[in-house]
Amino acid sequence: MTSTATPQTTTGPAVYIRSMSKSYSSSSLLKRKRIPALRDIDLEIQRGEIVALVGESGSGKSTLARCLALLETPDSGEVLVNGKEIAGLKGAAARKYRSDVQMVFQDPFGSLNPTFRVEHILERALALHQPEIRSKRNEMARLVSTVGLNPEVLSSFPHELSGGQRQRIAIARVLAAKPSVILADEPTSMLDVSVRIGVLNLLHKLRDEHGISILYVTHDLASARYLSDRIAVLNEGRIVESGESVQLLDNPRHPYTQLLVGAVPNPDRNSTQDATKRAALREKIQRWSTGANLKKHMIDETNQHWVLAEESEMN
Amino acid sequence: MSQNVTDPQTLIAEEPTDESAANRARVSATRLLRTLLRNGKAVAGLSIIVVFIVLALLAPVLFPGDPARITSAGASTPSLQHWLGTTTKGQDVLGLTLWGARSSLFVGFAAGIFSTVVGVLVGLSGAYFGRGLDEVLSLVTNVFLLVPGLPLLVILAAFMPPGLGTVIVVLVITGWAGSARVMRSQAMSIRGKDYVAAALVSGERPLRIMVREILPNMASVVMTTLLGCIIGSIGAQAGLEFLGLGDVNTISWGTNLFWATSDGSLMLGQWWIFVPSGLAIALVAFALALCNYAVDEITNPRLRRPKHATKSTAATTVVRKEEK
Amino acid sequence: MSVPVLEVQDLTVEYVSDERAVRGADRVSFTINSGEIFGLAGESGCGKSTIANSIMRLLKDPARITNGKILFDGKDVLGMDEASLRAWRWNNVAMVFQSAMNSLNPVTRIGEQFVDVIRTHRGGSRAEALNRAKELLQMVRIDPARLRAYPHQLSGGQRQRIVIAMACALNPRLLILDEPTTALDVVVQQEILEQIRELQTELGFAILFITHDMSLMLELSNRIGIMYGGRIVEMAPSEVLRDDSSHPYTQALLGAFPPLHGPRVKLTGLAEGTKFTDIQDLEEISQGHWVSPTNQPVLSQGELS
Repeated sequence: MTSTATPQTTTGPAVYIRSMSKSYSSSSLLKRKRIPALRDIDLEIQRGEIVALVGESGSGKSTLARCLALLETPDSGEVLVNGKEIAGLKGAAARKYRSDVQMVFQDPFGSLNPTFRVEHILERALALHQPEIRSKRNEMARLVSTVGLNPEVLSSFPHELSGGQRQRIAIARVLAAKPSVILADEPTSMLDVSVRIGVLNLLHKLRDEHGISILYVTHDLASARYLSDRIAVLNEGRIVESGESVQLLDNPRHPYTQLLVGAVPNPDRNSTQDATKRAALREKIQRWSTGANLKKHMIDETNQHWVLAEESEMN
Repeated sequence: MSQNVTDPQTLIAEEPTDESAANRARVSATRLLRTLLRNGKAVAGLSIIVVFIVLALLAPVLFPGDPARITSAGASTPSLQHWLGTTTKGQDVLGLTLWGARSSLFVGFAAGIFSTVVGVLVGLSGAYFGRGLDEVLSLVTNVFLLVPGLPLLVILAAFMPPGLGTVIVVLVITGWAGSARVMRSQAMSIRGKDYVAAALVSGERPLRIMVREILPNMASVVMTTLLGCIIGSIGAQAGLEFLGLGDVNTISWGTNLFWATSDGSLMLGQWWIFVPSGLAIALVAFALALCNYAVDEITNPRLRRPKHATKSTAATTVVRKEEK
Repeated sequence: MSVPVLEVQDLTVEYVSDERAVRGADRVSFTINSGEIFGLAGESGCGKSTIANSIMRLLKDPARITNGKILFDGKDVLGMDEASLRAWRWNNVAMVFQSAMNSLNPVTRIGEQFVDVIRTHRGGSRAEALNRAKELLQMVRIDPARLRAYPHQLSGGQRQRIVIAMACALNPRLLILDEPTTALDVVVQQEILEQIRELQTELGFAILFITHDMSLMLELSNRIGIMYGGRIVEMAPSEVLRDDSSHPYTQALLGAFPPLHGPRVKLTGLAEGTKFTDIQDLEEISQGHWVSPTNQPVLSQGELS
């Protein structure tokens, strides 16, 4: 956070984003509007770190993950993955990048082709990323057991498996590429509640055992706290607060983070955040986001906790 | 919603008895066959088509010799010697109809298949690559859609050398655009699905994604489009030939009708001369349409009506069991 | 003790097809008292939506109710004919369906949809219906001028409040809410729930609240029933369930929601492939606390990470 020089390949962060912006043009019959999805994003993910990107729908969090997956192209900014710029990657270079950065999608029912058996899906992934392996069958069985499933699932079609199982297969497919970065786009929001923890624990295990860096995109603060080391809060395309997970949620400084924290259902809390308090926070959010001179203010150096605000608001 | 994990009845998974791929292919083929046979429309449609194809293939056996040969003096009503009577020229109508099946079915199926193939290629490429290529292909498709079909058919047929090949080419040129539109929209909706994005992220090449990821998931739409194209081609061919623009020397249902008109059979009320060919065209089209409905029903379970369906706004049925 | 608003006894719903019959709900029994909020929790496929829809007899073929009784204010619902059912629905029981905000007619103005609902079940003139609609919008804090708007012109949260207002239109005694906040952001969700609480204080109806979100359930409901595989496995007042749950599935469900504050604990959730079979009838283990007895092991909560 202190140096502004471009980081080196071997010692630098896995993902380094500076001033990234992306907007979509919505064309109606008479006028073209540019809708900003991401504005001036600064984000870093260290090697072996899990960072959660938290935001509501429409905040732009999925767009950021898709930009890193080369499914979308940012309009401006510097995006370095393992020290290399990813803008304009095409062809063979792009395929090589794809071996390194993989994505897990939100919908376990849509991310697996319904006409393929599981073994075919994994076989293709292995053929693309580990072509040197002769005996794919063994490797497939190993992948499947790494994600906590029985090798019997190999001969099944996706529709024969439960949501949790399908998501684990999606993770197995991701692992076949031996990535150093996994982009998880709301991987548990469409799963049954009791199996979500299992999938999150699996992601944790992948980081612990394989040193994979993970970007965990979610709208659920509680699971972000459970899984990640650091949380970055996204509001209307801007990261408004970021820092170590536990203490950030204990001491949220940006009014938007405070609003989110107050809104999460808490059975231990006796009274909920009432309407007047919410209205006050909303007004504060409005003030904090329309300022002309928004800057990052470090609150807690040890926990890398910073807040995006006007100079005047910080006093 | 996710699968019924917690439903006890559906928790018992079926054990795969044999791992070999060949065995699994055989099992899924028999299952498909059983589903087809259970559907009344599929059975009816397929049987009619099969009957016609068999008759067409066996025409040389059932009616040997040149069917256009003159066998008696003039038009005569159906009799024991000529089951469907004879034409004004004295040709046997049954023979003409049987032999006519060969040309009509062949051209119809060929033109239908080619139209669908071109439509799939154009629609799929446009949907996958998007932007410039999509704009160009859409423009071309729209032009071909807007140009009125029958006049285009007539003009092309008039300028190209006569022959079955020409008929097929002309039918494909006028018929591919309709299917291209449908294929494109279907491919676009599949392209937006996560498994295509997953294939992209996995590093698959575009051609492979188009053929192995997108196309198989369009199978039922391709099937119904194919059947529709075949029906259209058979009808269009008959129309062309009726106008005298097909290959007048071949024997097909359309040319039979052409000769029926030019010989004045229609006006004279000699129904046995034109009804068989006309009826044959109608029956084949009907059978193909039945197959189309069947494909729809089989692939979309929501269209299947259960045997004892109640009114859609009725309250939930309460079953009172009299004895346990 | 007054007559409970809703009494469900041994309700069984089967989905009958040509090949087999599947039980969506299996001998389910519970009671809702006047003004009470009763929550039915469980995951997809457990039968909670089936139960909710069967109360108003809204299930379509191939579903049939094959056993049990539904008593509303003492009246037998299953014995009613079509005409009395229509008169009874919406006036006495109303329902907000799953993603109801997406089921508003997109080509009709909001005001018309209100008029439609009110006049179908209560009759009266258009003017009366529109007046009632204005009252209702004010109750849910939406500008009555929005009656002229189309659904797509409103946000998700506003649409959901309108659907809830429609449900309250004829002052029902019981409101059934099936996952009313699932598709909404967490802040909007909080607003909607507050709105529901306000309406309940003002109009005094009982609520059958269905969701898979346990923390939400615990915050809102007075009593909770946990469903699994078509049966209720545990039923108790919220505080009792939160502090003293007995059935392993309840614990798995509670354990699936990591806390927002406090120490970081590793949770285990429900292991892949765990099934509970042959669920026994409920037994009362303490005042108001019913559990289905089971031999399955209690899941551990795990160590600090």
